Amino acid sequence: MSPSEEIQFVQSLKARDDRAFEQLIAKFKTPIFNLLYRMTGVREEAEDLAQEVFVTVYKKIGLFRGESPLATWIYRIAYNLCMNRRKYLGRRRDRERQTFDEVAERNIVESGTMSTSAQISRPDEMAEGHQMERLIQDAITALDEEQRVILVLRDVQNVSYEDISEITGLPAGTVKSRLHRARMALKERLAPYLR
Amino acid sequence: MDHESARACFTGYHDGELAEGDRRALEEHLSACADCTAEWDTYRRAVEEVSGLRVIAPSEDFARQVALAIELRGKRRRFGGLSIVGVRVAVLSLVLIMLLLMAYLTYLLLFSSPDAPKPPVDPATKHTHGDVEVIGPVHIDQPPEQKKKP
Repeated sequence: MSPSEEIQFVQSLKARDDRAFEQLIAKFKTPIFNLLYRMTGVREEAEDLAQEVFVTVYKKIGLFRGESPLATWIYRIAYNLCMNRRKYLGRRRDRERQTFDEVAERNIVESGTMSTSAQISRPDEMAEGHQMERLIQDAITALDEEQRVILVLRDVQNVSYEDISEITGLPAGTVKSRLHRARMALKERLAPYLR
Repeated sequence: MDHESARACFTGYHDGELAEGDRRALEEHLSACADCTAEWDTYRRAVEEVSGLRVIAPSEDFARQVALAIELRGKRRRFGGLSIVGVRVAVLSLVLIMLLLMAYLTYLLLFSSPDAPKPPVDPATKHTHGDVEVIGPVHIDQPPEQKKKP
């Protein structure tokens, strides 16, 4: 999407165009979910957080000033939610207790079944049993949170140093040093399986 | 270049961020140091393993779940055009105003009517000074016994 196309697209989002919002979800759901999944290592938690990212985008798109690309802004929302996820998930659980009946009722009426992601056994979830992938994911999850997010953005999401700096608000030097520490820690953990 | 400096350059070297001089020095060190070469190999493979992780997609009904969450959130937060917080503030303000009004009316009923009871005055401490009625002891420093003596 060219810069001028992105400006038009953001205008449509600000005008509450449902089709534009569907396009936004279609484009960003996988990278955002993948980032959150690699950060948390838990599918349900990642799905909850990813959902919250898009709800926040919907609510706050009016505040987006276009000073950075839309993708960077969305990643920043995901980053902030991820950093505050314990606080957020606690609040969400309280809310869900209040609205659970309503949600369940809607799911049954609209699709005829309960369709929360936790209840569906997906083929890719079954494939997650691959030992090496599990080891790598565990090694990532065991990293310090501040190092982990940099590693996931850089090595899983392939985000540039400059964009990571913009997403996290950290100086480039801090990004590089945290990435180095994260990779070295990961190397130590995975070394027995790589030699 | 020593071992520690060499290993500190791994990230920059891997990402092509190392200055030319540092890159040459590191490559020279690696060609002569088996330990650092083994470390570098493990480092490179670890990063490759992470970069090669599968991309995981959310559930198929993810977009619908987001739409539902937005709808539910909107319903919960809105109440006749006012947010829940707005409604709470309005109700609390109304209750506070009612309480203040009741307190003021009670005060008016008790103390502003002509038949209203007046606070009792102790005759022993009632004196006059010119046109002004003074209530309270005249000589604060002297005990009452001294005044009775001729």
